[in-house]
Amino acid sequence: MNDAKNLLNKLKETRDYKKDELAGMTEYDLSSDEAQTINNEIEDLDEIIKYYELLIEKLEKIKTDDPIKQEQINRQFELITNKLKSINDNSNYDITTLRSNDNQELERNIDSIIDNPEDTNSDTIQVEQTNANSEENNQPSEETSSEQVEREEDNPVVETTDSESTSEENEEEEERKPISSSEQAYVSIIDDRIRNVEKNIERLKKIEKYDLTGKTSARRIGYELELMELKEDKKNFDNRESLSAETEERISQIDQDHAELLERREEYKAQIEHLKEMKENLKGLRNKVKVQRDIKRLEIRLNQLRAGEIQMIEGQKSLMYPKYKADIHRQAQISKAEGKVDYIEEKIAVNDEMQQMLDDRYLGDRIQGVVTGIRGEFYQGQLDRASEVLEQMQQPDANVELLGQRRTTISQLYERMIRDRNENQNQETHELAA
Amino acid sequence: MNNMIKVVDATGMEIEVEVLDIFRLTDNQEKEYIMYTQNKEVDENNIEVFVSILKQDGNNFQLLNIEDEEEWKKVQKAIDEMGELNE
Repeated sequence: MNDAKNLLNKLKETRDYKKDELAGMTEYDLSSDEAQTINNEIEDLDEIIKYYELLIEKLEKIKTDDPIKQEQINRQFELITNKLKSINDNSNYDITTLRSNDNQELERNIDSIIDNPEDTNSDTIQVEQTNANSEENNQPSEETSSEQVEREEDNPVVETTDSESTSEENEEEEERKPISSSEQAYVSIIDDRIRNVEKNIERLKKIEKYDLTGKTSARRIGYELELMELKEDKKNFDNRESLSAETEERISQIDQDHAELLERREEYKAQIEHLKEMKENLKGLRNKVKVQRDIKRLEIRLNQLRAGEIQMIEGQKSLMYPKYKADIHRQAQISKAEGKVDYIEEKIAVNDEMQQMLDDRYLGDRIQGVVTGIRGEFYQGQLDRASEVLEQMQQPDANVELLGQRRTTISQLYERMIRDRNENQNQETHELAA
Repeated sequence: MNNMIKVVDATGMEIEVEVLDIFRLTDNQEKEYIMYTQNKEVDENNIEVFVSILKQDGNNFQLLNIEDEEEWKKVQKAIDEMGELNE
């Protein structure tokens, strides 16, 4: 139990560190992808911490003197510890893992420990206990089965009644909850969406003042309306539609596929680890390259499985909550429409710019401006050189010979301007010298 | 009159002139030209100026005639342009 709590504290420290990192960022940095990633990680960590805190709290509240039940509780703590250790070690803050089969089973086990009365050891606990024993002690399964049979023979009537009543209760509960932990998953989906929408609203608020077109404001208002709708959905989630038998079947099929996928993923991970160890011990470069190629191949497969997993989770969500699917579709449509608007607006802006540039007067002024600018820069650049040469010519030991000249005239106005310019230049030179 | 220099003409006579500008042409950066005046008014609007090619060798300077007509036209154009910029 303490291990689990320690690991949870470690996660909290990580989250706080990330918060500090975000707090140290400037306004400009906050709009970067990096800041967005850190923000997402903080939110995911919050979710994970909240989830495991709840599970630990549930387990801590169970008071029992029954050694079997106590063993069962310890087992759940051990599972939570392993989960938290994996999250800490791999820095994997993906909240979709909270809805994995493993976690759903964990939740079911904890719920069953809470639900079952202390004086009667239900079949579920007994079976799970024997499974745990077989895993931990590698005892043969025949032994546990025989123990179970003995227990059934000792108290056949009570056991049957208990199991029937439990199954009836479960059926009733299944009517209320068509899928295990579905309520939690549903709330989680809506919470995710609400969080995303709120994040978008915050982001748009920040950039709204820079957008003179008003498009950002329109988008923000759109998101605010969506937020209201989502909050309403969350409030009314008890009135959701129950699932058809066919949908339930498909969902459970996906559950099975998901379990298989997770197994395969673990296998690939183990193989990769093994190959990496092997590679370190190998000497020849050629051999190392070969092993690296195999590692790469497995990593590609692993990525494909990850992609498959996401598709499965998304598919399951869509089946459980058609509204979620519709929402995703609507979002895609909105994004597409927004994309079109952006494209057209950009095109209009480019056209305006082109038209302005092609306007004769504008073009003439522009060219004239550029040419004058270049010429001005050129002649201005010569002034420094002229001052330098003139200074040298004015030196007492300088010898200036007049061997030929061409005569021309300039306006007195121009002459005056040159004189003014030269005076300014001389003044600047004196000031610099001073 | 800070821009006054003394030049010696072909007859060995020393003349004082006022340097108005020393410049290069945009398409020929190798040569330097000097524009100077003795402040003689041609009429009430214009004054007489002289332009020479300026050659420098340490403290020795030579003011040479612009022989090539094409070159002279370019120099005049440059003077006009500088006038436009200053106006």
